[in-house]
Amino acid sequence: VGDKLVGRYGCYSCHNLRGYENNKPIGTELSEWGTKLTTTLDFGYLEGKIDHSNYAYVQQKVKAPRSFDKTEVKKPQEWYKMPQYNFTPEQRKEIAIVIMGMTDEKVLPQGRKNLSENEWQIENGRWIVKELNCVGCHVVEKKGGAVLATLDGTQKQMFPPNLAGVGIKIKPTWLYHFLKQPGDHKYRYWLNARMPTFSFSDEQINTLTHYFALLDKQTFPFEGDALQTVYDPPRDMVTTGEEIYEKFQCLKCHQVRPPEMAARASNIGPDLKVVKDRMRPRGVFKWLRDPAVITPGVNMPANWPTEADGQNPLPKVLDGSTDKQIQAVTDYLLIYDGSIEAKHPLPKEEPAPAAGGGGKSEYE
Amino acid sequence: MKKTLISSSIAAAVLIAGASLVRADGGGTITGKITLKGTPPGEKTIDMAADAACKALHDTAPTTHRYSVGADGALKDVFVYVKSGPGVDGKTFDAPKTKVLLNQKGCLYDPYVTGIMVGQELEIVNDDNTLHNVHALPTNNEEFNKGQPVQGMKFDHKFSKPEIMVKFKCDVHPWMFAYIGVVPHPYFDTTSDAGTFTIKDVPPGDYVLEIWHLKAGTQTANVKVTAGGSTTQDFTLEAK
Repeated sequence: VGDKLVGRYGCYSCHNLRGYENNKPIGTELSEWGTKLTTTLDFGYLEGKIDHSNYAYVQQKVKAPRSFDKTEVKKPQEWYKMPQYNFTPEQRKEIAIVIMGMTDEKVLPQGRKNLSENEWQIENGRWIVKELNCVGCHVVEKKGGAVLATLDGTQKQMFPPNLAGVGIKIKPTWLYHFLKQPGDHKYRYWLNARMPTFSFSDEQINTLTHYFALLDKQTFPFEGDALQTVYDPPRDMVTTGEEIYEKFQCLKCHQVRPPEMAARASNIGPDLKVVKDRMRPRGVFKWLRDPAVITPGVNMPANWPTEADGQNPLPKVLDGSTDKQIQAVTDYLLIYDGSIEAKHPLPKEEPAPAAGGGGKSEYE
Repeated sequence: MKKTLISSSIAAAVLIAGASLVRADGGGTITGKITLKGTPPGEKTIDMAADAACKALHDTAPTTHRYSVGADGALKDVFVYVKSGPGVDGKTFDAPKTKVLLNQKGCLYDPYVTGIMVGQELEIVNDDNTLHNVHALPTNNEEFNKGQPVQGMKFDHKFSKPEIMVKFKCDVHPWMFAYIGVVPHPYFDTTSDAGTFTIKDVPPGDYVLEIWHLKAGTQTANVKVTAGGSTTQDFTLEAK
């Protein structure tokens, strides 16, 4: 009797049971259920009481599997075997929609969405992002970052970055090397946690870098600087860029400090020596213009006025032109070697720094 | 004929309810005092050593000011506003042309707590010779984060939606905070050193008044305002 019951209720569908390996699933095949003829469905006692359609039938079936025969006429061994799942009305409707979509109908080519080459690239990238669960840590296309919920505000500096704007900011070449070996590229040098190595193939990395570039509507793989082995901006722009860099006190956040000190600071930004290898030249400009436009919620502020009638803080530098000033700092950063940092004493560490740095202040 | 009647009554309704209002004359005044009961936890001394420019601005190290308590428990920095009532519900008000100032002075935000109307200009000024970044962290309005690297820099910002309260921080100086109540009408105030507030020209009627304090929390009270009259509504908050 036990053997019969196991066979009848299909225990082996979920549980591994030796001896039942070759048994067929006990349920109806659903692959083309949406186009099953309504006349072949047994509405039993509910004939006339519910809508005579496949759609109504599925909803009733998942609501109360045995409601069709009320278990009155049939013998126990003939009763429907499907369990009572207590779905909500909303869930029943969703299940019915999915099952109704399982049909044997073929969509003609002209009715299908024909992806362009770029759309295919994006879909391929999305597939990797989904397959490897990148969104478990990162926010990609405004979704994901589930791990953030497990970290409290005091660990904000450790948050995996939001990947919005990667295509605008990051050079595909740098991203290639980073994805090959994340541990070799610690531009957030104070972090102990880092991204794992996924042993990506070249093909996968090319798909990902292309995907990020296309998401942000960037040329791929190279932009304006491609043919230059060494970026060689105009000297006077570099000098002015350095002057602005000093006046704007960029080193308040970007001066490289001992990692343990940096990890506790509220105001810590990446080591800018990496800019020339890591960032697209036009990306540096756009980032400086307004970082939050590229990556929402980022700690780096917009240092020039963002409103059209905003007052430029350095009216005597480069005619007070915000665009020219940003270009000067961009040029400076694209050959930045960090030598200026030697001129500045390290900031003193706060005696009782905010735990974990950045997120929550003990002074609040 | 009927059509004309309807459209003229709509026009009248728009005039009464839909048009933007300015502060009405002939209203009443709500005043009160907020007292803190109990002993608040001690304030924390702010060590500004992380930025020498900030430290140089103070002879003695400043402290946090979560509880600013005066004589007899008078509690400063409590935001008080009309939450609901006939003079505000479903009504819209023009924002005043005057600006509300949020200064960064001595590497602290000044004022610590204040209020502003939806659509009113908030002028944010850096009075210090150091880099500040003004990082607003609203939940109902848009977040913004603007650096002010040069002394004297200023910019204006308008909030588009009501919000109690919008927090401001500075990422460069982790001790800097400010809180601004954004209200869709002009009936709000922040308590003074004496712990008192005054809300003027409130149209007559029954109102719900709410108070907010960063650490001691919120409280509400029902108040009745009469034309030309003055209503007193005191509150007592407990130190937490």
